[in-house]
Amino acid sequence: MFRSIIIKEFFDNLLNLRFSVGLLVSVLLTVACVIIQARAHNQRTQDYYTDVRLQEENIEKYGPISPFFIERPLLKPAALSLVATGLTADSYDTFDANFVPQVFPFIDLVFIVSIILSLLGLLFSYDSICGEKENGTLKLVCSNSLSRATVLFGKLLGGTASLLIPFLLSILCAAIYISLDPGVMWQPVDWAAFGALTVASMLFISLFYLLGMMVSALSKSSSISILTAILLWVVIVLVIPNLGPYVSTELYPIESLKKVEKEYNKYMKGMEEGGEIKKQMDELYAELDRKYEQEYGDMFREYIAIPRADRLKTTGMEAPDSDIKEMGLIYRQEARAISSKVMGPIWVNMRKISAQLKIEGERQTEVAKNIAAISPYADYIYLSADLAGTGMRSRENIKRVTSEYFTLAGTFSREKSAEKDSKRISDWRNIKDDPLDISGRPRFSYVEEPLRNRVAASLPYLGVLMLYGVLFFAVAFIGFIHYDVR
Amino acid sequence: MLGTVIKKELLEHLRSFRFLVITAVSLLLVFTSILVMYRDYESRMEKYADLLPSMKQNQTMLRPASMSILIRGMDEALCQQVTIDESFVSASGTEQAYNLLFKLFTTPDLFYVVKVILSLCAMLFAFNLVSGEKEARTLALAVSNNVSRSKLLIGKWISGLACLILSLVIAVLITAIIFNMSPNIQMDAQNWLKLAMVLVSSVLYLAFFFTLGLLVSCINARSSSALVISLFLWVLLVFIIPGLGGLAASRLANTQSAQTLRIRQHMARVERLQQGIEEDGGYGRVTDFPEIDKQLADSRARFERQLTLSKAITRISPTAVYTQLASDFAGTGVLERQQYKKTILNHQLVYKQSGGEDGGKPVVFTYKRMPVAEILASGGLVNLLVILLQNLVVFAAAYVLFLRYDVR
Repeated sequence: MFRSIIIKEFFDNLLNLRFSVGLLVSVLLTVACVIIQARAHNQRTQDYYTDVRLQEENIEKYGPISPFFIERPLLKPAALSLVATGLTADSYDTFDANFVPQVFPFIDLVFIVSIILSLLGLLFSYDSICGEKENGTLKLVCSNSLSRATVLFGKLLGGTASLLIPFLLSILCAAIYISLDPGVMWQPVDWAAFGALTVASMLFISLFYLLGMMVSALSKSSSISILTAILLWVVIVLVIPNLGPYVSTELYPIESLKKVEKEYNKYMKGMEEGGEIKKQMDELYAELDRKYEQEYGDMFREYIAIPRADRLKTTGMEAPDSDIKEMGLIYRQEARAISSKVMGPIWVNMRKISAQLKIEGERQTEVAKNIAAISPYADYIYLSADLAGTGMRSRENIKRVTSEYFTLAGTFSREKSAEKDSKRISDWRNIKDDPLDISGRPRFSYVEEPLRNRVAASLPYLGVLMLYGVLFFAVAFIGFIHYDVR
Repeated sequence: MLGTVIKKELLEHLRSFRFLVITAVSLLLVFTSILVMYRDYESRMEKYADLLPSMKQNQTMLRPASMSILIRGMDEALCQQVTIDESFVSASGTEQAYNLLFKLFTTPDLFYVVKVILSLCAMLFAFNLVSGEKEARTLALAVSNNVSRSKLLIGKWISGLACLILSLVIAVLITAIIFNMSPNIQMDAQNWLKLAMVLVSSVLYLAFFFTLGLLVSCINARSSSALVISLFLWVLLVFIIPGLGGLAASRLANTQSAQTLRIRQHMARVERLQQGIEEDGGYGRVTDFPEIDKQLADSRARFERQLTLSKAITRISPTAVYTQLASDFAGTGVLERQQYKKTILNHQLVYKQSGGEDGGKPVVFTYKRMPVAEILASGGLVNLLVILLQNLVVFAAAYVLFLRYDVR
């Protein structure tokens, strides 16, 4: 009897208009979306390989004879970013930013599942109980020797099965296209991640079917049911996640960005003519000049008479050794010490505020994430981005790998400086005829963390989704037990 | 007779559960969104007031737009502190860039509430106005009297629309009063005009979805199929067309990622510096980077193309048209940002050529946000006409379908 309920519910849904519309929309949209996203992804990957090659050539050519021998980190587009964009979009607030995706938001597979298929789930189930009551068939079903729990559970299984058909067909079409497209080269680990994402999506969609069923079991008529169900959908998908970040700015505002900008402005103003910092440095320079004038007399006056831009002709590595060159070098060293002494505390302060800014940003992000996580939609967004390697976890990993790389790069730079007897590497003219050996330079490489880690990280969110599922079913059950089926 | 129809429809709506829920939800969401956005505006004004005194001669910063409380758009990016130098222009960064969640979710401003939620409400309000009455068997009774079908439809349309936008208009009027009283917000003539234009655009937008719902109601006898079709059309117009259109445009325009642009500019800079050293022993300073200028010009051209294509492809959906209308009138959209960027780049050119002086006085950068007349002339009027046309098409279709509707 249980089986017949499932089969009946299944075929009921299949023969309905909503199934055909849902199937059509889902499949067509998924295919269109995957095709365009795949092409964009291929272009970006091609650009990445070109950039890597060009940078390699650039460094081989100019590296040994210039300060530019450390390669800049380049990131390969994540394989699953064509399915789950996550956080991979470029930033919108630089001056030359491409802000078109902010005004015309792109859609990806995660969007299709989270917005369109969730709505479809509601549409399938909003009248599963109250609609049947209105038809008069609910009392017929319940008058049999079936417990209400069996009926409910059978409806759930049959309905969810019919709902997942459009989804699975769309995924199949997407998978076929991706495997046929020569530019998208997914490795087995990427396919496994895609499989995990599919399973999580199935859970998410079924959750909304459950939501619709729950509302249906609590409503007297279909029209009330659909209104309530859509209202809940709006709150879960549109209201809570979008409010989350703004609530977090109230709780943990970021004060340091303002401070960073003010400090920077103060420094820039201070360096202008008449500015505080410049006055201080000018005084110290004047003092230094007086000291050298006393000590070296005419030789110093001759040196000072040379315009600043030409002084390197006298003190540079290629210049012939002379007393004036020796004096000039010590003079320059002392002048640099003055600027370090004045600028040092300013830079230390700015670094401190920048570090504080980073901490505040991370804290606000964490709070916003937790607030939004009340909504199952947000949980699904987090877990899909994390599985695809385009979410906050991978951002953290990239930051960590990048900073480790820059530490190594710094060490290497200092080694090269030491090789040239501490003549500054940034002085190109010094090393032109005596190229550096940069063969041992550090290389940047970032590899996405193993799938097992990503799945482990997404388990809490899956847990929340399942908890909601249990809650919805429990409420639906209680509602149905008390339901007047006549 | 039209008056009677309207009165009957109004009373029916006012007593329905649907009207109650939709009005309550609209009011709640509108007020919540305005409250949240007002706090955001306040904190941005604080930052503006704080930073303004410390800015240098070659730095500029726009005051946050009062209308950004209703339509935040790109206002935070517009109001960054911009440093204009001979060889580069740079922006200082926004607070939202430090909280990754802002990238995952959308701004819940009034614009979003109207665009997504109220349009859905409009369709839910209208989808069974005709088919529901047929199912209740009162439509045949109404039509069998000497009420012309056109009067019946127009009556339904007027009363339904009035109920729908009642909540929106009330909410916006109350917030206009609050704006007027708040010291933080300057409401000059231009701002009032902009507010009025935004309200007009929103009403036109919601009217479209209401009429579309009415149209769907006249297609079929059954309300449940009308519901399915309504939801499908809503999803298509609000999400699918703008989303796919934007994607397609980005592919057609072949824009490059920020990472590619940055690295190629860096490499061009290295080459130019090396060239500079070889030319004159490197004792002078290299100030011109023709290769970088070329790359910037190329990327800006591709971006323009992507923008134009996106606007053209998505124009078929009133959601995209409304997005442009509302954000352009508020001064937080594409139009304002493009204009601002152009003005800054022109200033940079003048600054470079004149060496920072103009008859002994320093070249100062000034910028005023676009007035309504200019916005209308730069595509605002065209967009208004497009959305009006879309309204007319849907109304005509609903009219024709209702005339042929089987009321039995």
